[in-house]
Amino acid sequence: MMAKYGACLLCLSASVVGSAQAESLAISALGNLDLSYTQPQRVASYEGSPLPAQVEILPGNDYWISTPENIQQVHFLVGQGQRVSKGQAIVKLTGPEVFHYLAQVEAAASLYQLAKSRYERNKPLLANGSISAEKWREISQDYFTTHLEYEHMQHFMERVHSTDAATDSLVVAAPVDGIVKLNAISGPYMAGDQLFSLVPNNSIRVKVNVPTRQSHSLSAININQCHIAIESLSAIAEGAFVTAWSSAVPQECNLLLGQQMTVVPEYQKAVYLLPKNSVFSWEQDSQVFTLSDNQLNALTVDILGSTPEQYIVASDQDLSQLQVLSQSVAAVKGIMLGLGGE
Amino acid sequence: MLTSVIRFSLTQRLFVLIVAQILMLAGARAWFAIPLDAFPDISPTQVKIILKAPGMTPEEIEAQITVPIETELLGIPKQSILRSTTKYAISDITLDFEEGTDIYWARQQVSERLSAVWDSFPEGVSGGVAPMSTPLSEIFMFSLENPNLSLLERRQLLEWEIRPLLRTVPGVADVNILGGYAKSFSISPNPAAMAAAGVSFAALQQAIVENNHNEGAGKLTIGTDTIIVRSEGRIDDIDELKQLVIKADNAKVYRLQDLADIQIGHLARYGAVTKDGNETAEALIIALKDANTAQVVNNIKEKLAQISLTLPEGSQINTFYDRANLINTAIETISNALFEAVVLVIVLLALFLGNVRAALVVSLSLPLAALFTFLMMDHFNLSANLMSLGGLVIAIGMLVDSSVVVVENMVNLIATKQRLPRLHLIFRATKDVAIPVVSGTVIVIIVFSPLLTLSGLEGKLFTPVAITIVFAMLSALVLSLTVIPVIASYLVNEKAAKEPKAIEKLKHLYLGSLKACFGWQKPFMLIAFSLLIVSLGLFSLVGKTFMPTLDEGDIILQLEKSPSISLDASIAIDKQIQQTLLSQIPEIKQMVARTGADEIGLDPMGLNETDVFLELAPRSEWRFATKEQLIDAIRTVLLKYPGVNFNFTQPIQMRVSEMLTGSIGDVAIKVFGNDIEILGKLTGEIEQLVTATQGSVDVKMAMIEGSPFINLTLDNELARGFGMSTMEFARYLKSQLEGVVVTEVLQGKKRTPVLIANNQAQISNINELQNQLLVMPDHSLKRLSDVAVLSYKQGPILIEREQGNRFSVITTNVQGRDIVGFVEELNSKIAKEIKLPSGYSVSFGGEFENQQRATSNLLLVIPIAIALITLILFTTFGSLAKSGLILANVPFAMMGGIVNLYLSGEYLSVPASVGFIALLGVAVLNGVVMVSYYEQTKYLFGSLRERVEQGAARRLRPILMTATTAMFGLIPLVFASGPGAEIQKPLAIVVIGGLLTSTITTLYLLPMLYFWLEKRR
Repeated sequence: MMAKYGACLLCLSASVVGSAQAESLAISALGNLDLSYTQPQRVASYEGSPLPAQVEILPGNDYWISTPENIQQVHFLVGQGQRVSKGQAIVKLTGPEVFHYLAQVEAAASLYQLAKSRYERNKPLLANGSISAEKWREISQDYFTTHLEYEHMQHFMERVHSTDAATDSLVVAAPVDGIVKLNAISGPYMAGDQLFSLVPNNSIRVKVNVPTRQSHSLSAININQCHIAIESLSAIAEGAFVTAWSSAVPQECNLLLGQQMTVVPEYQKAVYLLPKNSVFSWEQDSQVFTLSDNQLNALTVDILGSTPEQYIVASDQDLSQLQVLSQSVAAVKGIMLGLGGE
Repeated sequence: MLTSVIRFSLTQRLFVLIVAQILMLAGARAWFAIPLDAFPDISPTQVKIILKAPGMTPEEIEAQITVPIETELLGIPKQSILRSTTKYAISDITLDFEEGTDIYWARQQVSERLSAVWDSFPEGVSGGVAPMSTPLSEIFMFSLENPNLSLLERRQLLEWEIRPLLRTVPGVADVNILGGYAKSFSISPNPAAMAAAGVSFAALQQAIVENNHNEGAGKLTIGTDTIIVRSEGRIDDIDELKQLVIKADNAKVYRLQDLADIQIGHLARYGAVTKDGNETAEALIIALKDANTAQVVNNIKEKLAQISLTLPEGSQINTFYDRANLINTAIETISNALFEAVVLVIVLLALFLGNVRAALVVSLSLPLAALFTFLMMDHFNLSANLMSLGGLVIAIGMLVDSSVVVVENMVNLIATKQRLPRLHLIFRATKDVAIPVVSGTVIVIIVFSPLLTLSGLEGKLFTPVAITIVFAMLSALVLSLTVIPVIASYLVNEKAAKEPKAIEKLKHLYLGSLKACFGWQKPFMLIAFSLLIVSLGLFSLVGKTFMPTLDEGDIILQLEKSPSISLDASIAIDKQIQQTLLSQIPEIKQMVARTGADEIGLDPMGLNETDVFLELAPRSEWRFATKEQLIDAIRTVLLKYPGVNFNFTQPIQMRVSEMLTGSIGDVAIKVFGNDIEILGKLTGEIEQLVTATQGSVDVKMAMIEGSPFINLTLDNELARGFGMSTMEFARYLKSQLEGVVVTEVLQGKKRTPVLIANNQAQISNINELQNQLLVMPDHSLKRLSDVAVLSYKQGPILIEREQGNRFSVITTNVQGRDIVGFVEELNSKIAKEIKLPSGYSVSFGGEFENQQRATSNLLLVIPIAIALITLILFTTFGSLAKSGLILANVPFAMMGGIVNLYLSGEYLSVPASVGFIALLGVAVLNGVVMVSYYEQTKYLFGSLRERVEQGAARRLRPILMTATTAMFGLIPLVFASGPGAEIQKPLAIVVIGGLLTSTITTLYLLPMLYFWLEKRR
């Protein structure tokens, strides 16, 4: 006589009040059902569900270049967002102010040299008490002030690619390899205004929000064919998520600053790969049947992700040594529910 | 008037013969014109509404779709029962109307009510009133095989090439395409790209819909011409779809391909078809109600032969169900029985009449009556089927009665060698018996006419039987008074008047035995009445059932698996079982299985349900003698596959049971109530009682609860901040899992739905679901778990309702005992052991319900028939006592029927009951023949005893002739095998047994009772 659905209901109700774990079954109770088993494949890492991500600048790593003087004419030599190399001409500053500035640099150099020579000369005199402490303080102050002024101007001049006295212009170059962010404004550039900033290549990163419970094992992200390691993980959670930063984005990844995308996270965790048809739902859990002493035992697993054919599962037990039922699983579940027979 | 008719016939013999010939030809033509089918149309006036609500749970559908429709439908007049089944994504509502209600009126009423509530349905609901078909409408099924074509291509071919052509065949209501993949253009949105572009899900959907549109703009008059202007924007192919501009601003143009992945995909699958375990696609052809099935099937085959020439190379149309096979076998079975009956009757007539000419004259009434019957069947639109032709077989023995009486009287009169012209003697002989012949025929017609009042399935089945018998008897009556005397006038001569020696010897023996019985009157009476009482005892031992199972020749194996099984897993289990059966049961030629629901939704099965059509090898190749043995062998194999419920049925049987009760099984126990949980509990308890009751097999309990649901509830406080509404969230979810059809691309006659759907392979676990990205209306990107809370819930798998009330059902077949006894025992167990809460009730349905109705109908119509017969007898004999004397024959006729039924092991069923009704007429006719002769010869014999004994001896031949022709006419039905034989067999068994005892009673008991009655006077 046919097995009854009543048993099925009883079974279900029993499982509601009892453990979520399904029962065990003797192999002999499975009749002629085709049974095949799979040994779960243990892997060190796995790919999780896609996560939203954005290409951003690692905060605090970009260069800022400002104009030292009010400039009449600013002419950018590269395009906005262009990738540039160290020393590449970026902007040309033209006008009498440039001539004045260059003159100021020269003057500052002369003044610095003068102050330096005076400072050097008076140093022994201070030692033998020839000059008063008050005098030495005045000489020293003059020396350090001119030194600082000169150094300040020299720093800008280090960025100068070339100067042209004939046209009263100078060209500013990129200090490092990176992406240029031009500050194109409509009015005149006043002294101290930013001309451009430069994002160094190694500060272009992928910022990704990863679920907290998986964050500790996030090791890399994959975007198309590009594999980028995770470099840092925030210690501060934002709700159920944590921000992670990748290492510098290689140029061959063809990722653009500001680009939004989905990335496939790679988690460094010992997990198992199982055929999808070996997993069944029992109450609110995902379970598999493992073979032991001619018995099938239901074992709860945690599905972390999937590939087209397999599930990536985690388990408290070492599954790599177990045989997991991978055929007729639904029929075996049917037996658990009291179906079948006559 | 009768005298005038006979006189006219004999004076205008040539005219009568010509008219008879014309009618014969018309009858022959009618035979070829009559619609042929296996069974009569047994469906009530029934209208089905089938609605698909993709993605919706049973409870949601019930609340939002089923209940509003039911409320609206309950107001329609002339309805008999309203039922509904609500499953995941499907609502199936059935409204039965009273007998005789016009189907077109009924459909119009339902359509109007449905239109009235349609606007209140959730978006995405499709479907409507189902095609006008009956349970017998699934007449032809085939799969399309071609290893070079993918399942998607096969389905495309069936859907867009084959289906439109088949729908042009007259009589085809629809063609249901199942299995394979329904092609779609699938758009899988890229949430990150959409968020970056500032395009929300709703905006994407709207842009696709609004840009796939052509519309007439009006007319432009240019000079003397007017030219039609239209706006054009329809998408023609997938490339155009990819290029569709979704958003353009500030010189940024976002095309669909920038925001989504577009590819050729398929709609969500609700079912699949496998052939011998491998997936395929099939077409199921549904015939219109009242179509000529045999003709439609022939036309379909012709059309398919034409279509096959145009199919891609390697394509094969693999027919696995052809109703013509059943029709041919059934008609062959009944035709054989008819032929054998005719031969047996002619042989008997020749033996009794002892003259070939006289026998030929009487025998001619058989084909003539049959042809005239066909003529009337054609005129009254009665189809030729098992039941109507069965009626003709039943009537065969009685058809000759009128002619026998007429010819026998002619022969007797001619034997007197009166010096009168032979034609005059024939006229006198015919005229003398005209009134008894008419009375006898009217009695038979009256006996069968109550069958016309039967309702339900039994009415649908036996009304054609009664009508055919009435037609045949009327034909035989007219022939006996017109054509037969004319033919007799040419063929019957004095030689025919000589009684055969065997009959003379038989008469002698009979007279001797009758005299002996008169000597032992009291013991004889005592024995007769004791036997009558014993037969009453036997009656209680005879099992009772509604209707014998008709063998359709085919087997459907129904499989039922774990309720939450996926389609792939379900197919995998089916494959195992099918391949094992094919390897172990060589009688199975091929197996085509349908898992899940069909496309139209006429058969809304779950993914865990499979109907496997078994095409069997010819019986000559079987290892088994019977189909039951074959089923046992299959059962043995299936028992080794635990975890799967199975059941055996047949194509028509399955649909008939579903139509009549909404559930399949001999007994359906329905538990009514509102709370699904309590219903589930009660059903479980009752199911255990059913299982424990002796005789229960194939016990099934429709699982109404226990379906696991994952609830995703929008976190309103959070989601509102991003402008996300519950409806938009629901749409998004649907697009991620089920897919949302937003528009269609027209390519010639093909329509390809455009589906917004996630690549489903991406979501195969809870983590992936929770991590799905969605673009919020403010264009920010969130994960599903950011804005919604996931929880688990158990809910109903299906909700069944009757007359607006929820119920759950347990069905069981009953084996080895009668159904009525089973139900009585079960009912008392339920009353004792189950405590029903307030508002909950139990009722019994299934075939049992039909049997109860049939019994109450028969208990009403049989007394009416007896009363009418009494009235005719009283009119004929003018004596209530003599009428009672003739009616006294009836219980003894019943006795034979009961004994034969008991000995044969058959159950008391509707056909057996019809047999008892037929016995009423035959038993009474025999009595009429005997008593009418006694009355006619009142003054011919000296003493009462001599009159009774000699009269009985003289009526021996006609009584034996009428009884044996009736008996032998039915014998082919007892021994017939094949479809249809089983329904006629109980009837034949009852009539043969009853005729045997009623003939003995007429020959011995009736003369004694008549003697006793007359002596008292």
